[in-house]
Amino acid sequence: MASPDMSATDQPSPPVSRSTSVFRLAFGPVVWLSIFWIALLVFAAVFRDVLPLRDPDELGIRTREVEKFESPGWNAFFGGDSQGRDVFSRVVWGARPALILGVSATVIAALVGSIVGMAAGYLRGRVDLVTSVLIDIALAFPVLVLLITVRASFGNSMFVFVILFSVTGIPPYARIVRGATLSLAEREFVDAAAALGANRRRIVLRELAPNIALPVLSFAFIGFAIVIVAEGGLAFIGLSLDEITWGKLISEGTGDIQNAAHVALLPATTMFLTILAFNLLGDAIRSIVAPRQVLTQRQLSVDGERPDTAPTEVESNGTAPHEDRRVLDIVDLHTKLHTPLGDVRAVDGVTLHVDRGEALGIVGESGSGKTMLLRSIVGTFALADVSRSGTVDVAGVDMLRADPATVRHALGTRIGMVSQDPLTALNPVRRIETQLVEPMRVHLGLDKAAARARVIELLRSVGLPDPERRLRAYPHELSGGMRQRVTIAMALVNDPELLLADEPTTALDVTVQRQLLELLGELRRERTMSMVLVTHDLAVVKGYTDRVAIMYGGRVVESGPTESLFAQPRHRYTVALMQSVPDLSLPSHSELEVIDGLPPSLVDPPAGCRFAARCSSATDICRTDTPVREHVDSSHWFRCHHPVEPGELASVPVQIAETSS
Amino acid sequence: MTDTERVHQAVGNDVVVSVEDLVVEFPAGRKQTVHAVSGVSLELRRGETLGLVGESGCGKSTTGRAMMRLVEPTSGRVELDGVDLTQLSPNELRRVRRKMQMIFQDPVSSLNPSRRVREVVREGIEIWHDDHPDEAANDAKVAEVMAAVGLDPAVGERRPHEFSGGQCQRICIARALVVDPEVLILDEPVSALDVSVQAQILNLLERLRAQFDLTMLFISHDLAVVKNVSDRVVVMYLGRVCEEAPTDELFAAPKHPYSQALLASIPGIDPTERWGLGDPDELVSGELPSPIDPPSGCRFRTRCPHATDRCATEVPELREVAVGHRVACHHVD
Repeated sequence: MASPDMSATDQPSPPVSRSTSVFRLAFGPVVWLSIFWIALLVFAAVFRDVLPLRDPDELGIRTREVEKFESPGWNAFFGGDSQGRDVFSRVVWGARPALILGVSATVIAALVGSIVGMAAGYLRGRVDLVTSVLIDIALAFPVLVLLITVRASFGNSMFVFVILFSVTGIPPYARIVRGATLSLAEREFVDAAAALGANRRRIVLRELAPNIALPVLSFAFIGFAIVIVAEGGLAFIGLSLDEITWGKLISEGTGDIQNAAHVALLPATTMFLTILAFNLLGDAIRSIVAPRQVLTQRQLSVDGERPDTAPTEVESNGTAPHEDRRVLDIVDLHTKLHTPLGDVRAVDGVTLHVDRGEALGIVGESGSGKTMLLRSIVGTFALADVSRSGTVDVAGVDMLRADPATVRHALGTRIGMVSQDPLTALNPVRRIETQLVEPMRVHLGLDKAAARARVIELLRSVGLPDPERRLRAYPHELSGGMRQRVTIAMALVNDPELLLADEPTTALDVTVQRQLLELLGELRRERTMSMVLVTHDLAVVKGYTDRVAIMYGGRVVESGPTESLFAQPRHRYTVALMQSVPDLSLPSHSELEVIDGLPPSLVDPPAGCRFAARCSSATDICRTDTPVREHVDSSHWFRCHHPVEPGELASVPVQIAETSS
Repeated sequence: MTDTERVHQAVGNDVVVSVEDLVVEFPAGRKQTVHAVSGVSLELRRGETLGLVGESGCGKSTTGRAMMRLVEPTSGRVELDGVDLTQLSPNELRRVRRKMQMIFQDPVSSLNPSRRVREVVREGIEIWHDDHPDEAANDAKVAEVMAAVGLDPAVGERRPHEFSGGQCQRICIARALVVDPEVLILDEPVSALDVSVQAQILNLLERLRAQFDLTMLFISHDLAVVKNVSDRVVVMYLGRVCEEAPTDELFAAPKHPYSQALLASIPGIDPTERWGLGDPDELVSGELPSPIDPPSGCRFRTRCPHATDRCATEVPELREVAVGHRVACHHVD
């Protein structure tokens, strides 16, 4: 999470680097131990001849220095084997062939595999077809048979083993690199390089290769571990190298496992630790490529008790007589996402309400907390560790503190949800019929025919043409607009009192967008349903809501009846947002008003007004004191130290103001 | 170039890019074909911004990509300063196409994550290093374009993931400017950005157009944005051009039924009050047909309230209805 330092200058300020924290996450103590272990192995492999060690082949039976099957101790750290040889010496000796074989085979396989994979992925067409078939054949080939045959015909020298393991290692690398290249070649930066005039060689070397290097390196560490294991396997069937290897030591020791377990176990432990170290390091490198959220178990906690009575007057949600009409009542809601990079204060003290049959628009830019506010109502989060405080009441149910069954019941019967991407709401492998009729049967206890009839009626009510036929369709067979109609129908299955819609039309074209917004309005009126419409689009809010809340930096900065707010916006941010939308009524090439800078970080938000750093009217007080709610009238309020005064504004953009008169 | 010369060129209809009868088709499996672009002709005149609008699937992005030959045209001509790009060998194309650069919708995906900002911006100079041997001049050029797009030179050592979408788009624009292009093809350049950032980039593009004598093709689905930046607008529907007109004329009085439906659908606008059009529901019905099997004749006829038998049999030609205003509809006089 970048936390930009704020400046009101014309230059966009550079955000703070996050690479350091990613490294800190990837390289914990376990990874450092792995690196230490691998360094130890390299040291042993290089200096085994000059280290003060016994000759690994010297028979203790003859020298009397090490007893037969001597237990591990000061004399011989890993004890003696069946012939009194020093097991520790032998394990140290085994490090060199392990590293030579593992490193050479891995490097050759990774290089050749990368070249083959990049050629296939970038050139595509026939090259790709032939390569892919060859890779598939190679992966299906019984490698063990090949190893045994080659070993039998060409002997057991290191050279033969390196060639053998390299060749058999190529296909997995080729496959990984081909996949990575295919997806990279789709990215626009490759097109941009081509447009600048880069030739194929340059595109492969400068644009593709650097992005493939890290995933290949990550896989190479795991590939190394596989080579070590494979050598051990071969040793067990007596087909190993003609020198001391860990595999050989283990296979020799297993015969005596009953009376002297250490002879097999200590080399096995060494091999195990080595494999583990390489795997861990490979994983660590991969986590640099794709930083994962390193999170604890899924947690959704509630901080603090429910406030006893209505909160202070300033923050209250209006007057009591409306309480029975209230479908959604949120008081002082705080939602914190606990991430490895700090607590994100996604929702920071929001108080709002929705009355029966009312449509509330929540407007904000990305990162304003508008979507997290919606999720805080229903308690579903993509991130695992989230805590909420304050109160969220849906038709009298305390969504934060009621028992899970009550909350589930409220979600199932009182709330319907529509998301931006209908594909995520629909199961791609099930027909529309299954996805709609089943919940209807379960929730309403209808038989199949009755449920089906209700669904068809519902689909017709959301304007889906020919619903009987569409029931047999899979989601991908419908257009984006029709899919969204289906998800709206799904949200209406249980006749909810409150519809939560998160950017429901953002992914759709304007002509379809208009149809769907009209539809939502009609459904709302017919059913006296309330709606919360979250969007970044002021024009959508203006046409299709009764009241608006403007969010910035996790807070609501202004709220009021749609008409009043658009006619007389008071918060500086509201006005700036309205003015930055291109105005259809002005001639082309009119200069747009801009908001300089970037939204604040929610990990460490600035004190005072969150908009202060980008506001041209900001003074010292804006940077120290959080503005309190000031009321224009009983329903329109704002939080701004220097509000826009009536008459100050030369013009509200006409497109915005046009229909509010 | 002096101001008088610039004005003269703008008035003189000096054509920089001319697209003639461009067709782009893709195989769609099972011997089917996607008719993405079906005979599009348009001209970019020196110094102007041409808006190309339409809904998703209308072929506007494919037109832009085919003009760059990032997608191979099936047939048709794309002339840049009189040279037909579709006839060039890959090596000639690399050299000639430099004069035309493209900005994409997703600024993050447009930047190689493993390279530093300075390397990204310098890329064009490095590729044509033989043409730019003077290192001091090269450094000056990089500094000039970075300053022009509003990037602090200090950010040169950073990598793209450290930047917001708006800043990434600035980097992309700087990268394109470094090779002194005549033409910028902008494919939804502000669609992925928040409105406040969108305004910054739109103003920037206007400034750069004057500063670097650029000609622009601005592809977008957002009519208000296109209105703000364009001198002329071309409206596309399902692979064909419906209407072409000076911006203010199109937005004052759209002629093609599809253009009317598109404008009437803009949220927050009262189409009756503004254009004397009826209820938007009566201007367009249903949804976009599949480009695999587009309707015969006029492609908009399946959704058009005015459609007659003639629309199903005869493809409407683009006809001039006023100076510089052309419409492809049988029912427009």
